Amino acid sequence: MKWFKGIFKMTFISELQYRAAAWSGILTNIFIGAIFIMIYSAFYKSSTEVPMNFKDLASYIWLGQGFFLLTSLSFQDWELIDTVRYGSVSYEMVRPYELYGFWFGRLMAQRMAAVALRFLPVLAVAFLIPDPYGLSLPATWTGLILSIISLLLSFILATAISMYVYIFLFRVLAAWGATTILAVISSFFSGGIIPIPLMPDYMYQIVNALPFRYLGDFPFRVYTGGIGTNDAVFGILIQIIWILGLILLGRVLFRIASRKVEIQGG
Amino acid sequence: MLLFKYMKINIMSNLEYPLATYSTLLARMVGIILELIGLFFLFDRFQSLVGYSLYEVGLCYLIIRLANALSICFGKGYNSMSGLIRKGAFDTMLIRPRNLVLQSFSHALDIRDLGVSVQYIIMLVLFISIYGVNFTVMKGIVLLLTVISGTAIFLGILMISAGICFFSVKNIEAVSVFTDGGVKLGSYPLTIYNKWITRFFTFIIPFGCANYLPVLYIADKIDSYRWLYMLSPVFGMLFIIPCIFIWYACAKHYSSTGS
Amino acid sequence: MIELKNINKTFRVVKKTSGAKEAFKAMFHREYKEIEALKDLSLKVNEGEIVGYIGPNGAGKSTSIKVMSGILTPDSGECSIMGYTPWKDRRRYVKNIGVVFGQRSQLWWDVPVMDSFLLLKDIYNVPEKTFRENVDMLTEMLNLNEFINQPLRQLSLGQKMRAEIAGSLLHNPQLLFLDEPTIGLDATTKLSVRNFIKTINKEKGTTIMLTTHDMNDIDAITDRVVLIGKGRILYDGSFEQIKKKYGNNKTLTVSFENEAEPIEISGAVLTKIDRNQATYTVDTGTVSIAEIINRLSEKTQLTDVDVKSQAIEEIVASLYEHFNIK
Repeated sequence: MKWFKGIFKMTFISELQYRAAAWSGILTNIFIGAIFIMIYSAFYKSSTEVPMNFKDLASYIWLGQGFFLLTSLSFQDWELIDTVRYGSVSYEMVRPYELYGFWFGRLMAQRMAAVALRFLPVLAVAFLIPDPYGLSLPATWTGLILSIISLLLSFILATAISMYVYIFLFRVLAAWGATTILAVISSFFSGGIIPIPLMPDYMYQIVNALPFRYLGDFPFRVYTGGIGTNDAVFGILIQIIWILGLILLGRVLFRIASRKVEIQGG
Repeated sequence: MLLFKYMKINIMSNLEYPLATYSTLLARMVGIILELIGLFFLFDRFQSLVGYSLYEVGLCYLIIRLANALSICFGKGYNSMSGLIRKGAFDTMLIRPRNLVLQSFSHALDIRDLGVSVQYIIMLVLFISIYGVNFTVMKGIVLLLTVISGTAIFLGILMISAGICFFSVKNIEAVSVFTDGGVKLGSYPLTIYNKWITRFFTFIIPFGCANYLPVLYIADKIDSYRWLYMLSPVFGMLFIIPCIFIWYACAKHYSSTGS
Repeated sequence: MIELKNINKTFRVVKKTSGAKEAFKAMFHREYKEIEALKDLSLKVNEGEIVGYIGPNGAGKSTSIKVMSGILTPDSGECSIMGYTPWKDRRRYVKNIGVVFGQRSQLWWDVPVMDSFLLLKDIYNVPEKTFRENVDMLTEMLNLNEFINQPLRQLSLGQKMRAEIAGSLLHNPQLLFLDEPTIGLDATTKLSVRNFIKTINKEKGTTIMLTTHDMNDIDAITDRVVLIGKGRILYDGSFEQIKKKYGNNKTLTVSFENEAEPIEISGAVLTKIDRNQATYTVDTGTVSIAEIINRLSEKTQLTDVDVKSQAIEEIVASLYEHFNIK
């Protein structure tokens, strides 16, 4: 766990170094959150029969902006991608630890550090915005605790999914496009393009069958109370099952893929 | 013309990596389609947006995104100015006996960006052929002007952000508030927002001229002063002129500070 | 050709920070410090000259090359090159110069070298006939034939550098700046680049300013060196002079028949002694080699004598030391 803390700290510091990028990231998230709120408030004026009330929708959007880098699969470790692409990965192969676990930790530490730096300012601003446009307090205390648990699990889930990018890279070196496709699909099915409750009803089945909604949509709706305590606990269990399944499969594929690289000589 | 020769050499460079080019284009297409589906879903849920139909909103949406794609395509040099400065490519431009504004424009045209623009053009044409009513040649011309106008506005913003790079070599990403934010904002008719936002983005950064003003004309929603709405894109284009001067002044400053 | 008068240039750079706390502070506030890159720099170069520009890293070599090539505007001072002020008449001025930066490429990375040349032809408006002649000449002199139709990224370092140099000469510049043109090259390529520089200077009369860390470059190409350190010109003159002044130390290794006691000789410093071999450092300014050998042979039976001059690198190191700029 020491190296995990080390990487977390290193990423945090280097993110701090790019203060302009960090600030403008925060600013962009706030600005885009505000635009979304305005667009939806205009849409809500045009219809009354909506499966999610506006106040909850506003919280949903602000959480989405605050935890933008948690859900975004286009957030990747470029250094690691280059290691795989340019073949210096063979050096990594001889290190005395399980590569999958180490990379997993590295990616997760980076994601957590990047989010840790940004989410508070965004959410703080969102709290200050008056009802119903801002971020409201959680519906219940249990809801808050469950949503925090689920958000922490989201970090693991996001990392487990993003590991597939590297598995891909082992096999097809120019899998760059595949990465982007994964990021776009994940964004769509986690409610990043439009909130999932606003999708047509027939979409719910598809969304529920995929792991992506547990990255953002699920914890956000546990927070707003749109998902009740029982459903939340059940959902967290499914989230854990997804995590375990994706990690187990990922490890096997990772091993097969990386073995292939060794044979080719990197 | 030199500009086209620069483009040719850039495209030749891209074609050295066909797989990367195609896979990126495919990925972008998936993204474009999923985002459009999102818009359709919203209209499925809400039927209209304070009086605007899917047709009008869809036009705004596709026009602004096409304009943004075109601006990235042709303004790549400005978009990546901080990288150019860091890598010394801007120094190389300085030792060439050619105009800096044009050299930057032609610096790094990427066939993938061009491909994205083409995808949006196809979407726009398809969208109009399915949903369009009473579409005339005149409307087509106004539409073309609108796209050019939007491109010019985005290019102007890119140039200003590139100008700021000369002062702080780290990329000033705050400008993405205006480019990314501009795309999000301009994807819907600007009048749905708070009136101050509508005014700011009509009179200061004239996104309105590439948005609801011409779209109202194209969708036959205007009865009086139609010519004013038809000509609005032309006013939007003027935005780029001060931006060129600002960038030029910043580039002058660079040579006195250096890297 | 080149006349610099009292050029000054100061940079403002961000103070580096370390640690999370410092980095966090830097989020809100940054400290700057000023670096004087060039101080009262004055220099005159005549037409047809080759000037070797030397100095340790960070001395101001690149900054002054950037000023002279019109990339940087100095804070104060005058600069007139071929009658132009580089940063004022940029476009008209740069038509007449060629610049090669050894550390980065100016040609297009992913296209064949020849296509880069063709684009440069258009950028500089080189007439077809001149262009053909130059390409033919440069191809022959620099052996570009083997790779001129390959993309730059596939070339070896030496091939790349030859292509870069050729690219900077297509428009017949009267003045050529070469910033570390031999960096990272192997011995053979270094030799051919050196020869080429000399030839182009002789045949076309191109004035050349050359910066390098490899003193053998200077030794092979030119006699005029300008030493710059901490933004000032410390020495401007002949390289032979430097060698004479700072290259007095010679290493003398003698072998003798039987084991001997260490022999102390005045004027020579004993640096190493083995069973039947001794090494001395001799300052030839105070005592001649012949004298030392004479004295040694008086005391013992010499079987072998070996005299080595100081390596040029060492000479320059002691030169830098002398000026306190290392």
